[in-house]
Amino acid sequence: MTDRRGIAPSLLRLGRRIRASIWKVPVDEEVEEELSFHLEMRVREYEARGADPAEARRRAAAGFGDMDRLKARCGELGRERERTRERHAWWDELRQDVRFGLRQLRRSPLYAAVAVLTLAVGIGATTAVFSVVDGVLLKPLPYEDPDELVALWTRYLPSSGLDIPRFELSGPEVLDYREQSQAMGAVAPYGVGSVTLGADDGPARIGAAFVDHRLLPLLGVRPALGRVFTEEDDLPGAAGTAVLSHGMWRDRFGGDPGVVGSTITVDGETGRVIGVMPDGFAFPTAEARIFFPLGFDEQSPGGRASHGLRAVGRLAQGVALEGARAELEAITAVWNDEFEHHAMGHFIFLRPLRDDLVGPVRETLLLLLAAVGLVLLIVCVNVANLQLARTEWRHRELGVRAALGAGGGRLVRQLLSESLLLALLGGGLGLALAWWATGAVTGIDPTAVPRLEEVGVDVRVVLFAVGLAALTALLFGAAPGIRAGRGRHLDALRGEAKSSGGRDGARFRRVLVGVEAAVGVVVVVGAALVGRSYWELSRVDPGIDPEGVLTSRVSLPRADYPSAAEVGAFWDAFLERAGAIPGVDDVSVLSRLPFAGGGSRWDFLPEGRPPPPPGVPVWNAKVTVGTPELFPVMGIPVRRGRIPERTASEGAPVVVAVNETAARRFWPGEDPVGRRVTFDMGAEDPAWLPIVAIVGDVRADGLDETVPDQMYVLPTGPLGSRSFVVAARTSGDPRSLTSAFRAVLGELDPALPLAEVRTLEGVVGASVARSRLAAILLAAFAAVGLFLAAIGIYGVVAYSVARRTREIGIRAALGAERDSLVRLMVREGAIPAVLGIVGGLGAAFLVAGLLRDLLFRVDPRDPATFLLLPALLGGVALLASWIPARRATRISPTEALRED
Amino acid sequence: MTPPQGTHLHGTLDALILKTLSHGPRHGYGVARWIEETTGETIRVEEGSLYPALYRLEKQGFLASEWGRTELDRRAKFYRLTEKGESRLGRETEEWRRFMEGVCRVLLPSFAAEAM
Repeated sequence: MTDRRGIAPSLLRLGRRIRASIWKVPVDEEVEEELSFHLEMRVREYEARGADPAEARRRAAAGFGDMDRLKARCGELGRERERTRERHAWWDELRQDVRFGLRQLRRSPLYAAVAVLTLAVGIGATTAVFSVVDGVLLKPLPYEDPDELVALWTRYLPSSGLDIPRFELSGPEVLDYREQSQAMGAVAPYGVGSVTLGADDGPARIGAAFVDHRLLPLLGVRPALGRVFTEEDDLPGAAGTAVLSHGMWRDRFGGDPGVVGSTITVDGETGRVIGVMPDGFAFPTAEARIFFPLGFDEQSPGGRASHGLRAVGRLAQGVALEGARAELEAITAVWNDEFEHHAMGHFIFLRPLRDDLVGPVRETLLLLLAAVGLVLLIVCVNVANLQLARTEWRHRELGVRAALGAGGGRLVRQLLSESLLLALLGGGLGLALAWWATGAVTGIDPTAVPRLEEVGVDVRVVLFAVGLAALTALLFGAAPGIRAGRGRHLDALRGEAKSSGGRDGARFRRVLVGVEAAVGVVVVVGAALVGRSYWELSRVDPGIDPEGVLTSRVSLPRADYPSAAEVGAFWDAFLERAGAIPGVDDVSVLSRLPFAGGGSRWDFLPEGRPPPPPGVPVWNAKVTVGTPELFPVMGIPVRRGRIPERTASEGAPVVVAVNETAARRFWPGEDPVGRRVTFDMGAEDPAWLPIVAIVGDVRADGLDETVPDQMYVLPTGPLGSRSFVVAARTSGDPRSLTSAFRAVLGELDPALPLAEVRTLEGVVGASVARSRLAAILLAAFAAVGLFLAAIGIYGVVAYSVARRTREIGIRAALGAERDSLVRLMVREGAIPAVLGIVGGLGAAFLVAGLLRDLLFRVDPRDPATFLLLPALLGGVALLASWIPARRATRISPTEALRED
Repeated sequence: MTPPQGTHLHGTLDALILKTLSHGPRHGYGVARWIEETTGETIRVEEGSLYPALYRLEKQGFLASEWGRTELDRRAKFYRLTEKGESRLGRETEEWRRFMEGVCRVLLPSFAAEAM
């Protein structure tokens, strides 16, 4: 019934539809009537041909066959027809609405552009943050049944005097857990490190994981090529085997499927590639690009007290984490009785593997998501305001539609489809924005955020964006739609005073402004708190002078440098040549950089004190081994005593320096300089090393952590360790000397890579990278939110002023002062904003408590922030109201009166 | 009408209905009578086939219906051909012509030779 065009037929149709919807005749009744009419006519036909009535009736009925079945069949078909018709009508209406929506948008391109752009920014930012949250927090780890996997760590109770949140396990402990625990289905130890991979295009330092042969099967992931380690591969002395990560295989082996079986050079020794892991797999993090067997010797698992292994376990079928925790703690408690050294309160703790990896970042990410969600809310409010304003403006048009029979529902649907159109356009643009932003984020240093390699715009993220767009359309489209549906537009047709409709709309918009202001306050306060926290963090004195220092790592493979003499000779030669590079003031080597994470703690014994029970860490400090020059290179001040210089002679002494914290703690009230310590615990003839100096504290564990007890072991003669960080203080830009260092290294041994080249500033900066990123992003969101809220207020006041131009003219003509008029207008925007700010302050006060864990040296209820910011925002609101008000009062009264 | 066996069972009746309505809107009885009169009572339309066909054609969009009044002022449901129905009629006619050609060539070669 829809093929004719033109106004007359459509009105007729409309009329018919109205009538049809009022008198709904069931299909069956129609069928009945139609068929009986036909029957009647047939009877008459036969009678006319001479049959008697009964005969005529019989013959007529015969033509119909089984009448009841016919009626039923026609009834069915009729109902199907109705359904099809309704469906088509619905689609037609929808198409009309969409076309109408597009036309409307084309007519006001500025409004459409503003709405689409703000929506794009809001939806895009939210989607980008969600994609990070999804990749890092929500996506399950790339293992089978990842919720069953736990990480096992040692913890020390406070009574032990050690403040170490988590620590590795020892070999015998791992064996015991595996054998004695029922709750754990499997336990596998592993370790991480880095190795030098030789290749034709130059050696490179690669992150590696050393895994027990049970570990990869425990994770339940099958290799993409080849196989993983078997028990034979894991025996000490087995031929070297390696499994590559997918990324490693792609990047360094060109994705060549023939890589399985090929040989590679690792730390100077040859090994065979036996398999490649699938794409998307990483353990424990993406930094480990190659896997080796751990070589854990179950016959000689090492000392019980020597904690150097990490471990992963899988919960047994049907066992909950709590149950496993309880069981393992009970096992450990038994050890406390059996083994003396456990008496110092040394316990197991389990953590779900996912928390282990992403735990530290979770709060920050969720905070960012909340913040960006609030900004999106501000965006929606703004667009809703825009929509409301336009709805009022389209009063007349909507009134005509209502009169022509568009029911309230239809009007709502029309306006909603316009909103949906805007939202989808904005969402599409926003998705593109998010895609770009996500690409930029993943380009940042991946160690700042774990699992960053899993972040990307995938199906889930796209669905999220689409859902978000629909939700925002509902949010900002509902208000004007509902108002339209209430049929107030018939008033408009009659030319009723606009003020009645206007007042209602104005009140609603004022409420929206209040909401906007409140949300804006919450976002800005949160951003300010986090920003101040970062500021405080960056002002902390690290204890070193990081400017102008170049660092890198050099590691000597055992195969090429088997004896201590060769190692010592290498370092001597290297240090001499490196020191001679022009631009280098001082060069040293040390075992580990501060702020780089990790580091080893050694037990020691001060001379004259009774030795503690074996394995009990009574005296324990973070130890750095290095040449004496490390103090001037790192800029660590010497507080007492003297650091001797390095000589190349054999037999030169090894000395020790301690930091102020260690001195205070282990030698309270005494001067440690001159005393001696030994690190050879429990040996017959321990080597006693003299303490020669007290040096300044370094916040080596992080700027926001407490200073650890530090000791520096300083060989003044030849060096014995095979891997050191090289640190050099330079005049000028440290990076410019990288090639010079490479050259020096190449002269001594071309097979050695200069790895992990960084400036010390970069290292310190990286340790606060997460804080900095969070602060920057929040500040950006807050700025956008504030800007949008200000625009929102401006818009509301400007609009209401425009509508009251006539009133202003009258007042002005009656002699009202310009200023009082301005004040009147400003109240329009400022009052709801101020109320909103007050409300927002309250909300922020409540919410701020949640931020406590993220803040450093900043009280979440910091009075300065809570007083200053609202004042600032109030000022912005006043300004945003004042500008349009002032402009309006500039109009001459006569012009204003002419406005209608 | 004894329905012919084979592929054109529905098709023939559909085509007849569409063609009938191409001359103007009619009610169901009118369609039946027109076909019967035009074929000289050779083809007799059974209501048991006619109405399902009419309803089906309407559902498919080839016909449209509305209630109206006959000359004798009785209420009846009138069917008319839609644009979609017109093109369908053209196709059906063409198909029928080809079918007929084929059969003619087999059964009545001389007649076929004359008519084609």
